[in-house]
Amino acid sequence: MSAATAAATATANPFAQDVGERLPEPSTLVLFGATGDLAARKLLPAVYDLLADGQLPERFRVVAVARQGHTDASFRERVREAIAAHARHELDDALWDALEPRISVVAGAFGSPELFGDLAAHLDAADQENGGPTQRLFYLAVAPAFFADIATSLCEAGLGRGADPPTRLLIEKPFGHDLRSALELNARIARAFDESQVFRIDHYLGKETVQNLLVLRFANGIFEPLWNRTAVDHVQITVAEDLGIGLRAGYYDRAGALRDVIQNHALQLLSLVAMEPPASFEADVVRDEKAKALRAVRAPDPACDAVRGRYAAGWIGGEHVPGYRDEEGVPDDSRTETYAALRLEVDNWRWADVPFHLRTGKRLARRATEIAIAFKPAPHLPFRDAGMEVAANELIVAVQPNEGISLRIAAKVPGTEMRVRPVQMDFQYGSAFLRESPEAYERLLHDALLGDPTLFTRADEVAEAWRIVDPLLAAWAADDDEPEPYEAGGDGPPGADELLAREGRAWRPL
Amino acid sequence: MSASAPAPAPAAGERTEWRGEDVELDDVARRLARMNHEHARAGGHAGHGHAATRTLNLLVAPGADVADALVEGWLDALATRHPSRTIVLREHDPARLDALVAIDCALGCAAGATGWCHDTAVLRADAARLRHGDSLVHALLVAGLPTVLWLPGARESPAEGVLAPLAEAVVLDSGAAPDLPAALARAARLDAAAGREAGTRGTLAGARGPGAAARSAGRVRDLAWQRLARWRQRVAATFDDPHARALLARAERLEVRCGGDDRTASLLLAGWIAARAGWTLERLDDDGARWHGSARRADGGGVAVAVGSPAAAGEPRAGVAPTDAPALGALAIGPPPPAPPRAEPGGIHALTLVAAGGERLRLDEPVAEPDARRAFAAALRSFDLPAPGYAPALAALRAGLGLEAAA
Repeated sequence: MSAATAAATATANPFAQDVGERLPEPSTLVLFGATGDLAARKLLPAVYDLLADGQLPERFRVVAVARQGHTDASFRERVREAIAAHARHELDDALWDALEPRISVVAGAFGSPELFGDLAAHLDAADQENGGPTQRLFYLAVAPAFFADIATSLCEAGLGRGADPPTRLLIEKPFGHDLRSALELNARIARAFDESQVFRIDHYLGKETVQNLLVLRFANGIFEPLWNRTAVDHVQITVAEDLGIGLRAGYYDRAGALRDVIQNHALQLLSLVAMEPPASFEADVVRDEKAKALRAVRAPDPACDAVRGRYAAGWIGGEHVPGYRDEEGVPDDSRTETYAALRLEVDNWRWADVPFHLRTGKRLARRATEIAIAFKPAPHLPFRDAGMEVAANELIVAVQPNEGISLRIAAKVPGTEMRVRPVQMDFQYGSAFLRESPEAYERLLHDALLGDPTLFTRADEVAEAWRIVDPLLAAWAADDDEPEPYEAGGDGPPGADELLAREGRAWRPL
Repeated sequence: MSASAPAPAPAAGERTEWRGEDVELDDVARRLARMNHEHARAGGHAGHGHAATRTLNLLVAPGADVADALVEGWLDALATRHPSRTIVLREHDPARLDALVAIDCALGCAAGATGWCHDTAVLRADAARLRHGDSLVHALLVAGLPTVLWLPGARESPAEGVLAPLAEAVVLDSGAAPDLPAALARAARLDAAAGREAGTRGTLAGARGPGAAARSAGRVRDLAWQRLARWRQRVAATFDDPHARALLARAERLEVRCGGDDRTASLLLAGWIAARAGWTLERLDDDGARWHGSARRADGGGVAVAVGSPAAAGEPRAGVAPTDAPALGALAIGPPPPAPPRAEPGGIHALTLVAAGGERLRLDEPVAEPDARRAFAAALRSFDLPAPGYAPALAALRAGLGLEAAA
């Protein structure tokens, strides 16, 4: 190599300065559970959508780990069908022709050590054939019981901690089923992979509105001065679903609403609302603040801070739907809650005495995930009609389905009388920017390929979230009480209303 | 003056419009305000009142070579995600002002749907009025929002010169222009003019902020450049590899192979590579199908540059020296070879860099380039971001064409 060449080689990439959105390093995505529902509905379509948006590196492969009997050809056909059915972009022949040969299958059982030897050999051979090493991402779209074993086996096959080329482990909630099991899982995974290699997916964090919450709070000067106990009366976080449990009875009956939604999605939303401003948007700076906020949450008292419910038969969208215990696969004596409401307090200077109300449920009136910041009412209304009630301001961050932000303010009703009525100022995310929001899984997969862990849950956040719900899990498992019934298609059990009514507050109507 | 009676306020998903012949601007402004008001009220009565979310003023000044239908088609394609107040200025012969004001709305009543609403004013005027087009739009712009000027077509609207200073960004497509030197000169001129007065009407901070007067450069959003986004990403990713950078330092030939319809984007890509590689483009000649040129590397070595369609030049895989040297790892995508991408205007098929000794680097995977309308949407979305690399690419091409340095 000449001196001039050596100098050029040593210099930085001259083109990088002009390209804002960098492509990930050459990568291989290894999918465990590649023939499952999550892969078909979300992951494989997300891969295709990233490809169609030009967001994948030049050298990119998908390796499916599947049971015996799957071949490259049969799996490729499944991928094609999954893309055609679920991707945002229409299936384009030229893109598919480029993607198809990059998909291969390694068959075997997760429990067999040979599988992991075969996988390592397959990855090395594929790299060799395709021009060099690629970083490897192991996506475990499998039952959580397999997480630790697969991680251990990957490590034993030389694909875990310290692997060269580098590897990452992507896992999806639930991370454990209580604090103890979560700590155990974290510890077993930590023996196989460094925490910096572990990407725990909470797909809520991939949603644009959730990220926009950080922008709303920290890129606008007018909200943060109000974002504290001085101006905020209370906070409501709602994750409501109109669907029942579908075919997931086996999983859901063991989990329940508290584990399924509160421990992860709802507490992640809480941490974003409650956190202090991060000094930068670097992954660990943001996650430090989130973890700090969770650490400040006082564990709730099962006797007075929480309500659980279970849906009974009812009507949704003009259809009669069965009660939870009548769903297929649910035991007749099930005591699993399909609804949970909590009153939490965040013990720090910013939030002391400001209750955070969290609720989630299946078979509620509609599907809605939202954060409501309820502000304190005006201290004095200088209008003559003393009987006039003016609703306090509310800032609603709608996460789904209509992503957006709205602010309720009071306005004068036109006319000679002085009458005041609330009006809503809306910002609809979809209509304001000329781009379809990428699916949450696209964003998360892309971030994992880039190695950016900002939107992934760190081990300490998981542990803190379990610490918060653990007393309720323990109390509900120990007592003989049944969850309070509520009618499908309604707003949840009356007990949840009482939880707020006690302190003179009420849930936002669904 | 004559005007049709205003239509009743619209129901969800409808368009309301008003047309006036030989009108005064005041009529148009009042009509626009009144129709918005009536619409909001009608929506309120129907139980779904709305508040408009607007993110920008979109000024459109098409050249005489652009058909109404084309502009309408592009605006319609944006419609469901249209964040702007749109003001279109067109030229016609009669010495008078005609106007069309329209409100399009669809309210998302179904779960998961997003409602949208936008308003458009189309003003038709003679060239003398259009030369004072700024006076036509002042009263119609939504205060406090940024303004983007879109200039479809290669021919210039008489209003272009007076509208550019009002706009934070100017969107044009140098790929649509048959005369490349003229297109580059226009881009450079607009880049200097745009935004000069924008701060006075944009945000308060914009008017007062530091450097408000000096914020005029980098305001052009060239759709030809926008369509290159993924190719630029790919090139940047490729040269992360030190071997590729070593080859770049020894390059003797750069070839960009593209569809025949639009060579400008390909030329911009070549210009960008030359600029960032530290080469000086010394010559660029057009033989009708391809551009041929030469560049000088920083170490004095020469680089032959070819841009265009090889088929037209009758030169299969033009100029790539056969070599036994292995393809660079970063570029060899596993078998079988990918299908050739379908030719589209502006579509680039392959980029080849050949170094001394015949070692070569070739990028020819199909890239899902955004189509023209997507590129337009992307330009509107990112009008406030700098377009790094565009100015150096333009400057390199202007040098190659023997034009004076960009203003």
